[in-house]
Amino acid sequence: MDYIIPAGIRSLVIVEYDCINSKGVILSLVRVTSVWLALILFTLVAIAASISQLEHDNLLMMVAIITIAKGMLVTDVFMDLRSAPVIWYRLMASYAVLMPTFIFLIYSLS
Amino acid sequence: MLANSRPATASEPEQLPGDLAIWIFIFAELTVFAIFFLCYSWMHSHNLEIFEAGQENLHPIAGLINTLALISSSYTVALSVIFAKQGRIRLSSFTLVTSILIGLIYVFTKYWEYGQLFDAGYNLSSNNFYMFYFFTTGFHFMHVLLGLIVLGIMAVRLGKITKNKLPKDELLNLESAASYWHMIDLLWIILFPLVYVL
Repeated sequence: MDYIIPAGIRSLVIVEYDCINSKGVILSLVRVTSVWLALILFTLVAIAASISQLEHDNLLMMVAIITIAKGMLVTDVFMDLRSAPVIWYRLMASYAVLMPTFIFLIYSLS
Repeated sequence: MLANSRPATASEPEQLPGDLAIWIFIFAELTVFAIFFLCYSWMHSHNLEIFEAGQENLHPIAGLINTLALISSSYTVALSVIFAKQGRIRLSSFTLVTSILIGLIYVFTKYWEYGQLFDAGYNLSSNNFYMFYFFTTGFHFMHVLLGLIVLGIMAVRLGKITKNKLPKDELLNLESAASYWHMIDLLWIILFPLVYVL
């Protein structure tokens, strides 16, 4: 292990370990990392759907749902607006939900 | 429904991350982009052949790389804020610099993509698709550049701090910069399917 990890990085990890090793911080790190992985997964699913032979209306619906989910994850966890005053959370969440919905409606009704 | 999904915050006072002014600015920006998105969608649905032909000349892989870059950059900025709140300034600074480097992947990929289209003879005046494509993505590109400058300034300021505790005003500045960067990520999350997927 000592030979694999460069000394600079190893010292950084060891020094920072004590502070990271508290329950609240670990939970925050796990939550943020899970959201990052979920966002990547959603992106890949949207790309896979676009190159598959999915019917256009189904593709529209799927992409709209994925975009709303991604927007809500960024709003909730990355921006950390869940702990903000409710008006700001509602404004941002409304944008994340309504924008893809309006786009979906314009595409599907034309 | 939105209010019910919020966690109980009885132990902690509700607090907006960052400065109030940056949030007013963020919502002004979001409103401008909302107009662009709706106009793009409307034009797409009424000029289907032109838009579909234009989209075939784009590079989906470049769009995917840009999406992954912005998502990952936003992730490391979120990490930077978590570490800063814990007083781990060195780690916070390190993740912030990582965010900038990942953000630069977006800049270079987009620059390459624009270069390919310009070399092929496409520009703002080619047709409705290219006008909307260059204008909307170009406007977003400028926001990315501004965001990178803001993150760079914050990284320099964090680098100058020698104490193990971040002053309250600096934490507020970092949260403001992070919120702006997340807004850029959110806008791309909506723009990406519009331009590359649908």
